[in-house]
Amino acid sequence: MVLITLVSSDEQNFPVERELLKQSGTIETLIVNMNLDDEDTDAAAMPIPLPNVKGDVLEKVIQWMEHHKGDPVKEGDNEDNNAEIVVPQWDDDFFKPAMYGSKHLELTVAASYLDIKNLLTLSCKAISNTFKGKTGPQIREEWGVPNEFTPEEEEAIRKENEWSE
Amino acid sequence: MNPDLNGRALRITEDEFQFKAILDLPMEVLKIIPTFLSHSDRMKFAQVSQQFHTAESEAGKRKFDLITVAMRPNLVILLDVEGKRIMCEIETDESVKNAAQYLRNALTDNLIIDDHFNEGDSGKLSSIFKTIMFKKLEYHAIEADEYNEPMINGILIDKLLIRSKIHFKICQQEGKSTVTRAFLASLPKLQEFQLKWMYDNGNEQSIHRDTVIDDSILISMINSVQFLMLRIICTNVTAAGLKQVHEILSASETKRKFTIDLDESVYADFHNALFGKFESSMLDGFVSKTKKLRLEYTPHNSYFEKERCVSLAIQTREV
Repeated sequence: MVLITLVSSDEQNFPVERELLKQSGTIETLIVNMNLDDEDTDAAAMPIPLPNVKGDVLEKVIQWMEHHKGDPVKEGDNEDNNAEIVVPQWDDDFFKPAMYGSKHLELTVAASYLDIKNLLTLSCKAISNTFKGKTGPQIREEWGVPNEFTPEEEEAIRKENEWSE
Repeated sequence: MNPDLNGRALRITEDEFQFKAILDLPMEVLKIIPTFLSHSDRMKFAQVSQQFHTAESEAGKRKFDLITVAMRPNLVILLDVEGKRIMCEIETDESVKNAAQYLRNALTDNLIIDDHFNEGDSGKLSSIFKTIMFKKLEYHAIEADEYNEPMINGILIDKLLIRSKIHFKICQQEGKSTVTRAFLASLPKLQEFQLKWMYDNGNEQSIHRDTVIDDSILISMINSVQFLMLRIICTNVTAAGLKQVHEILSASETKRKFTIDLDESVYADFHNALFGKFESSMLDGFVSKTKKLRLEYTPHNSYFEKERCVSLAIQTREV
């Protein structure tokens, strides 16, 4: 089994099975550019630096990739009906403990940076599930978003969404 | 510090990747979130903050139950969603731009284009619907002119439509068949394509004669469409063309269905070439261990009851 070492922004080393890393478009590109798949290259001696991902977040990303090993990897922008995507129970349990905190947001941004499309989709879908059926003020309260609109701006946005026929 | 592949420092400061609150999310990530929401939830999402509002309007991928295009008397687009309707009047270049932005990568169950359009309006519609995805497109060209099929082509181009259906009701006019032939010969990969004929007054009439579809157009269509239904008597299709269709369907790996109306004599030639004399109106047989092909024909009189016709259906299914 070929192992490739990922190095987080806080200098933590994570030896990861080569096969798992196919889920990350960013790492896959780095592996190709660094010729790490060549038989002559000593992959163990060439760690991949990931300066935008902290160790605790990278650990979660690897845990997620391990669970999803072998899943088909999305390519390009999907044309599926996003409303029909369901977050599987395992992923829901994985995301839930950190949902309203910085850890889930950091995991989502890491998925974007590392180009792990399935993780990004499910992570954003899990966030969007917290908005369903909620009003603007309720979302602000739950996510700690300050109300930056003046009453006039709020009225203008409300009018934008009025229906006509 | 970690070097990148060129030896430069890549690391950004600690603060730059601290995502403590949802408003810290980069816009490219924030605007993914509303694409999972229903229309009414998206409207509430947009009211949360300026960043959410921007993310919602730039996200695209809005979902609709039905989008209808019509002339009332000017060009309008009606958007139906969650039991409500939005009407967009398309007049100025600005309104075309706004509609294209609003409908960017939108998804609708049904897209109905229910009129004929001049060159200018056809161009506007191609531009507005360039990125829209649909499950079913119904095109009713009552007074079709030469701009309409190119407009539909503009809507279909660069889209993955393997799970989409197109139902076409056209009125073929003198001198227009070249445009229609070009359109039919270049259909993208589709789940279903259905073609019906309409008279000049708009009355639908499924049993009528058509000279546009010949063997080469038919083969091209059967190679692109999983379920192909031609509800007109195709007088230029020959027994040799039908035999080729039969071969393609027999060799197909997927479930297929093909129906066509023909002159009885053409069907008789096809049937005799393949199976010998008429004995049954239905032939059912295995083409492989896991696939069955059924061929059914139904003789009937044509619309004017002057000639005998045959409705032929060939379908394959897994067993």
